[in-house]
Amino acid sequence: MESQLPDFSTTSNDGPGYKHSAAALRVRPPYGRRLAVRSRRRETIDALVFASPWFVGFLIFLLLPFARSLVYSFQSYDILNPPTWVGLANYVQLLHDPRFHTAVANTLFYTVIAVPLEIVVALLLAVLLSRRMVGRSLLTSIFFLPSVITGVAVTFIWKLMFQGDYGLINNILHYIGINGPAWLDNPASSKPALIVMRTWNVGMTMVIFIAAISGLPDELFEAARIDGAGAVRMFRSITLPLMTPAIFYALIINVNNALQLFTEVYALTGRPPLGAPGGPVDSTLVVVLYLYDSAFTFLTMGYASAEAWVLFLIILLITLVQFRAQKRWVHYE
Amino acid sequence: MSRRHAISLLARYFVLVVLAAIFILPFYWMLVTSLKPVNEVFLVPVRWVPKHFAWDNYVIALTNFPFFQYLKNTLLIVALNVTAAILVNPFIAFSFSLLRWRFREPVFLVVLSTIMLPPQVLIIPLFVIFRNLGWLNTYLPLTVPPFFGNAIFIFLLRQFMKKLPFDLLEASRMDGCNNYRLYWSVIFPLVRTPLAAIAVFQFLWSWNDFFMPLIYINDTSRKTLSLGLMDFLAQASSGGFVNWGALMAGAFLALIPCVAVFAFSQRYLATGISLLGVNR
Repeated sequence: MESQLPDFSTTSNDGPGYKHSAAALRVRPPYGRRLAVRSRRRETIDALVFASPWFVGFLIFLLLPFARSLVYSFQSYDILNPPTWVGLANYVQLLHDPRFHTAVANTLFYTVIAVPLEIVVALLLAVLLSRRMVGRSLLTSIFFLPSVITGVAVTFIWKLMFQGDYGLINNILHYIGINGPAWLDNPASSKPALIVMRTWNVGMTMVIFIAAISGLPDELFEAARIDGAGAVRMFRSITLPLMTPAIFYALIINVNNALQLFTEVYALTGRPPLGAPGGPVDSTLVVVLYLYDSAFTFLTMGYASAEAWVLFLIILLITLVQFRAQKRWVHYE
Repeated sequence: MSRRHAISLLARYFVLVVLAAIFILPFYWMLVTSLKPVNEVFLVPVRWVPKHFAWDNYVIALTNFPFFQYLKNTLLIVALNVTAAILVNPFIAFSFSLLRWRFREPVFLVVLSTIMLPPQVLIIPLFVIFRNLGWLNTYLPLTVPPFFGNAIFIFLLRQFMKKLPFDLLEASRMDGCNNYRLYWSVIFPLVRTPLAAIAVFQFLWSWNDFFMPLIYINDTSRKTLSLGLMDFLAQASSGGFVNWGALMAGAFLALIPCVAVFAFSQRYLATGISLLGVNR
């Protein structure tokens, strides 16, 4: 009797006559297949157990606060009394808040100048360190060290060096005949001081670029050298285009960090114990600094939440623009 | 070696050494200033080596503010954070790298996307949550969340685990090993190298963290080193005069563990970064 039923068995039969019996119509797969399904289910359960800390943390420390902060941004909340609903009032106020405008302008100014500068310096250092040479790892460490030792202590060193009259930097400039400004007390020079200090942190980006350069195929350079290309030409036509993915990655990370800058600004230009003012005439007031003030000094949590969301939207927008723009200039293999 | 080659090599070294000197300068300046008496800190022309060694800057730094208390507090927080990072992240990464389950890839995309979320959006609600839990002014807000994983570390470990030899895992599975035994006995020991990098990163990050302790800790006795240093500056400058020598001594003492960890871990950090950078 030829079977008119489809053959469900894959590895083995459960005995003669199975295919033709009513049992076959229940679509019960043979033993081997059931074992595979059972162990697949166990693997899924195990996988969920292993990932459970992340799931729980995601819900409690991320999703829940994320949703709540949106709600707070539409409320007026001073944490001592329950929040009251104010609708879009916080956002409208932000639109007219000159300090917030200053904060956003300062943050954007810093980002637009510091990030390309960092990338250029990191690129320069990475290229210089790309050949095998004596002392290469020592030099790499020297450049890398400042970028992993961030924070208050290190910022204080710069604060000292930037002191107006006799700080180290002005002292040295004096030798070259330049009269340095009162860096941290002068609104015109406070942001440049911040930028200079942060450029010291290029080490992390530099290391990423070094890794990228070391991944470039040698044959390209060999062929170019045979064709008589000089070092600069090789850099412009080979290294740079092939490094655009790494540059893009560095751009995203550094822009993100720049827009969220807080500790270094607080330590460099904050004047404790007055809280967290942003430097002379608010010249180094960055968004997160203003956010901190709004939330923890003035206890206007709703307003601060609105600020946080505006910052988030700015970051989102800039990141999206970068992702769109990458089609123009990033070469992927 | 051709002459042109030699010149370019020399030029390369020259630029690098000059830049390296500039990069080291702040550290040197911190060290030197910490040993200077008050009258030598701001001298014209620059005094590169102190004439008199003011060792009592260090005495001031250690006694005028509760340095050892701050050190103890910081060590506690850092130890807990590093432990959390080493234990939890490979556990989670195992699920996303070596186990096969239906929604693995989409969920992992969500994990990755959390890296891009700016923490400032979350701190206010988190603050309220912790306040309602009664956790304010304790170390709990600083030490508990790391036990739930860190997306960047999970990503790093997943990259690494995916490269582990497949047949080794299959052989263990075939031996009747369940996934938990597999993880603990086989996988966890194999990820020592990236875990070392993660431990170093977490150490450095937690040690220097200022923002989180600033928000959650109020008692002076519970402050961390970074908060303490800030207080030191506030204290010192309220009189209009800052004892930079003592401040630099404090900064130096606070930075020593970081530099030490960095120096000892050079190899591990390099591995960590290359895992981060190369696969983009």
